[in-house]
Amino acid sequence: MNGWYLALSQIKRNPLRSALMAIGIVIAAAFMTAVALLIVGVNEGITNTVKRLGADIMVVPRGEKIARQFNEALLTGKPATFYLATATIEKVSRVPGVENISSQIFVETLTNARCCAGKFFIVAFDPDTDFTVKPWLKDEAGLSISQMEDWMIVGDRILLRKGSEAQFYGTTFTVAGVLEPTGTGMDWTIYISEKSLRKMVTGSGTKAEMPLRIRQGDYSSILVKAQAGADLIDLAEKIEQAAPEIQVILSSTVAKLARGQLFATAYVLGCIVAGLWIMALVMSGVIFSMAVRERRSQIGLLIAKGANKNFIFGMLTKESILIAATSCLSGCLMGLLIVFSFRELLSNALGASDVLPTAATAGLFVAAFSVLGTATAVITAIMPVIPILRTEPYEAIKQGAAT
Amino acid sequence: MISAINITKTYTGQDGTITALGGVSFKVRRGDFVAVIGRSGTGKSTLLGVTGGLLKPSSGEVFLDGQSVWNLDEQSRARFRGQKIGFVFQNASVISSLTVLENVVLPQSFLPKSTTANMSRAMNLIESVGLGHRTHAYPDQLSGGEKRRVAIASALMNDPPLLLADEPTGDLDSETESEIMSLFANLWQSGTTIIMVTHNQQLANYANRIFKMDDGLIIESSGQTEAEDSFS
Amino acid sequence: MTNIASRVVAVIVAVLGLSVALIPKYIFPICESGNLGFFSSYSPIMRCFWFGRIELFMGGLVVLCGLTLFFRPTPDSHFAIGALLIGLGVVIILVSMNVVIGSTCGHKGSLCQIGTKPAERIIGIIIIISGLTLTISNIKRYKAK
Repeated sequence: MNGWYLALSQIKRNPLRSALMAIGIVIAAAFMTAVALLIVGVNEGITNTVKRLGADIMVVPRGEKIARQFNEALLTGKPATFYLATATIEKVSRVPGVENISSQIFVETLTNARCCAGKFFIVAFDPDTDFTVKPWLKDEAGLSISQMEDWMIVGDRILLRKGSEAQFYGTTFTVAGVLEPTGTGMDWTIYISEKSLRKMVTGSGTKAEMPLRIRQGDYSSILVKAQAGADLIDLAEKIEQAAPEIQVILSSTVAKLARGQLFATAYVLGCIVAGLWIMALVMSGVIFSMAVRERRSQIGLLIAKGANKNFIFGMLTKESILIAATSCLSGCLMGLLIVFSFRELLSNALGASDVLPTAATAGLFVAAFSVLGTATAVITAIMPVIPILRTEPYEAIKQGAAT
Repeated sequence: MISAINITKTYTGQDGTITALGGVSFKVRRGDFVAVIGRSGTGKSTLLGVTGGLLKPSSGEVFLDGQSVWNLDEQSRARFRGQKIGFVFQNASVISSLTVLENVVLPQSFLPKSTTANMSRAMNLIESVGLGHRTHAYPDQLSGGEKRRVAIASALMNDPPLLLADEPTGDLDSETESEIMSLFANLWQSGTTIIMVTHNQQLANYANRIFKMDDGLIIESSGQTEAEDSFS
Repeated sequence: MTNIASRVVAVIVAVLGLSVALIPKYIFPICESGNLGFFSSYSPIMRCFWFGRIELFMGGLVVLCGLTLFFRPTPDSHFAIGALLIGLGVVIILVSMNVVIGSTCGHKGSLCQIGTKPAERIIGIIIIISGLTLTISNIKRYKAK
């Protein structure tokens, strides 16, 4: 009968006390893991979004608010509307180092669009120059585009499938294709041709509840593909010098802006996690030391039967390890399970493309938090017990409750 | 077998220094059954704790089979205690999380080269205290008397030459008390040295020697030799 | 397992049962029925309505188990209720995985898919764990009996 056996017998025979010790740790570990996974997952999602943008440089009208709206539209598909004049496109296309450009026009649907509830983000693009949307087209959708009049391509999460029809500003569009899931705002965006948009603008005056006002020749953003080996910062500066009315957004800036928001949230959540963890540790430490105090006479009895203080210390440490390790591991797994199960819900709520990191990262976090959590829980449980162990065994037997 | 020389034990508290033992000396021969009697607070339990190596004296020395108990380091003293002394307490008879069998086997776990637990000896001991039918019961399923019997069986597991008992029948009814005392009498008959602390004068009749304590001193002892008298 | 511990487990089980029953109604509400018009008496009932109703029924059974355990915390009831809870937990999970009543809540982005079903699955797992705890902790005593 070794220390592990005695420790386990104590846990088994005192299930309520053990559960009370464990519950705080389980909750705190679950919350800690869930928050960490969310932060890492959202961060990875931002990296993926930036990788998938397709464009090296994006040009939008000048203004901090516009940059923020554009960023949000890219990441979450939240509608954004702002416009540039045609002349800008020509200026940008002439800048040395620019290989290819494609312009896009942004529209926000009316709340009561005849297809779906809520406002949707419509992006009009020129299929001939596009290099950001078409690569994500499924099947033979490209062929359908060339054969159809007013087509639309919908993001993976839009509740419309190939052949479905929807009316925006009085013009009926037919779904020509669905994009592959991108894990970005593209999943929530509806794409139409620039030609259809101009037609929709003209028709909206008579057919729609509210006319759509976009001037002929207005664009929202210009997507720039740089020549191979071009210095992007240098190119961005040249573009801004060529057209002072615009601002240039590098794909890395999108990530920086998104991360700025994420880290602010992460800081608040981190503080809550720290507070929760400290409370759980204190609670479990207090319960454990109370339990040991109650068992003083039994500890004295073990010493009387030949156990030395090292054995007693080891036995109590093992008992706290068993409780802490089990509760930390189950808490961490529960956190993982919660994030995994509510992945979509959390993505929607946080406006992130994804909230779950890769399996390897998640596994690493669960393992690291289980070990670190166990270590801190054992230390906080054992520290208050040390003075109790200094009591003379005979005093301990006399002071303890009768058994 | 045991010689205690001028043991003192003092406690310093808010009310000043309290002397629990004021220089006690005694000798106990192998095979003796000693009853230590006296009113509450006279130092009986303190004397037992110091003798058993569980309570460090302020001064003095205790020798058990020629070995100084308090000159050993903590680990050696624990090992020595496990091999040489069995304890029966009123306050802590058994480990509540272990079954009867596990409680009895437990002391063997602390022996230096503990081999596989001697289950047949444990079963025999459980049978001998009349609990053969409760082997796998937990302490909360046992009566006070049954728990005390488990404590006795456990104390004898390592076959110690000395058994120290502190109020072993303190909280038991008279019938159970006499059953427990019969067990002690049988143990004594079989050659185990016993020192039993009790406040019950009648129980002292089971012993062949009686130490009467008052105010931290042995004020009267019966059944001892002249040489031993000189110690008290 | 002591009586107090059993009663604590019983309360937890009852709360879990209530959660199973109430999640589809209040926490992550699912579609009840589709009314075709204000004056129309025809209301086609969608399959996710039945999903909600089955979870309500299963949750009710779990609550009943919890109450039985609370008022009768004997080794027999531990064993029987433990086994029953394992079964109920499995059914709750299977229903949410479309195994029992087929596919429900078609759109994969609906609250039913991203909220209700994951929540029911997690609670189902906890119910199974509670059932296993009750059964295993009393298996020795049950056998001895």
